[in-house]
Amino acid sequence: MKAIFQLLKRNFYVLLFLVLEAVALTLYFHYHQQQQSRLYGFCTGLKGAFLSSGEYRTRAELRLENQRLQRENARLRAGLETSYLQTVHFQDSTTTDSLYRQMYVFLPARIIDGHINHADNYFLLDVGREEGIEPGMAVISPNGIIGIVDKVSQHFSSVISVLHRQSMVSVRLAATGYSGSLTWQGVRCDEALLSDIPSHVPVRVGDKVVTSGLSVVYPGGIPVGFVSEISGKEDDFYSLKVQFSEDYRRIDQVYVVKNLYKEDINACKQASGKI
Amino acid sequence: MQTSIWKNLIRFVFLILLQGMVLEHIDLPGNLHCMVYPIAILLLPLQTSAVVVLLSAFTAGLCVDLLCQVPGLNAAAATCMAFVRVVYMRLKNRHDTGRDNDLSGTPLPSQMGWGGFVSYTLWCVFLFHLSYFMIDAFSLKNILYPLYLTVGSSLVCILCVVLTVTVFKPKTNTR
Repeated sequence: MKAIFQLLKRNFYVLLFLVLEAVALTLYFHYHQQQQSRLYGFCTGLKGAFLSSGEYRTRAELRLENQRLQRENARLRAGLETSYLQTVHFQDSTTTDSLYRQMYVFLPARIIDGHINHADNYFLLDVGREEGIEPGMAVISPNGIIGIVDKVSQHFSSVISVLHRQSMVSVRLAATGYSGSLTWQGVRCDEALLSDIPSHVPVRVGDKVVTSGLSVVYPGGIPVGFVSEISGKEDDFYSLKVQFSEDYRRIDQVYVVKNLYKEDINACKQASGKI
Repeated sequence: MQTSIWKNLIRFVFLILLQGMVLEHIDLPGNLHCMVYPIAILLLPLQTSAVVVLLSAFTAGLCVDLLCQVPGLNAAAATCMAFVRVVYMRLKNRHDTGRDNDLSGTPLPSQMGWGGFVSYTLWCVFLFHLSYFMIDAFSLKNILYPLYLTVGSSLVCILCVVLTVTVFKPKTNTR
């Protein structure tokens, strides 16, 4: 017994190392699997408050001008055809007096923190529950898609970036209209993989890729990138490399997309047993 | 001894803040990472007990994690590095038994010689980055990419260590 105690005492550091490593790894994987983790929420609020208190990254005079332009852009975006839901589908129908109804509205926001050099990346926005942000909303920029809102605090929200290995976006080839799934492989921050496009479809390098509008998250027609490499022609489906049109190293101003019909669509899906 | 504790504490706090608030937002070419807070663990006095080294590394890693919003990743890698440091020092002590070996100061080139210091830094830094990028990727898919990041980022970190010990010349102190 004494010998065992002595052995343990002599090698206590190994035991401590194993315990600390287990604690760290548990924290890490718990946080990864459960995005609702309290610790993560705490970090979001803490860092957001810290960064916003010091006017980090922006100059006051430019910030006001940017906010004004962003609000104007959000208003103009809401006026685009893709932001409307067509309510009249037949020429002779007289059930409603307006042809389109507003489906998407755009809330301007700024990225105040984030990283792109991990295998799973996140961004932090300067808007939160008070500004009408809810988990599950899409985030886009003038040049492309950014991600989906994950955790929301009073004034801040975190976004699961498209540069996350669990991110999957429904996109289509603008030229042919065929849709597929866009995933990130966790390697280059400017490149993603587009799969599920049948190999009989004509595809060329440089073809534009846009969001398909087949999900309740992203509106259709938002630019995503361009086809940069084609492989898998001999298989049933292509394996296309897509170069993002947005440079994720430089993004600052973004828009959070609110789908005004999300609850309606989800209720319908739930009723039909799709979700 | 008191001065040495304060000196190490200030070094820890400064490097953690530098890592979490500044370097985390700087993108190096090739997506490499610039990690400087392991320097604080490397430069802990030679006679620091294994328990203190492990606990300091874990705390430093956890603080960086809270600033970078990836709870656990840096803590796991830093603890791994601290363990490597403890094992390296024990093996070295066993190897050097019988020689006139002064273990009272800071692990610096002046104390260990450039060869010994570089070998010690290389082991600690390489295994820190290897555990960091392997845990981050946590997949054998595209395994070459985390290995590339490990080698590239280790070189950047070693450069930072060499610059720190030559430019700032931390004094060899006793605990």
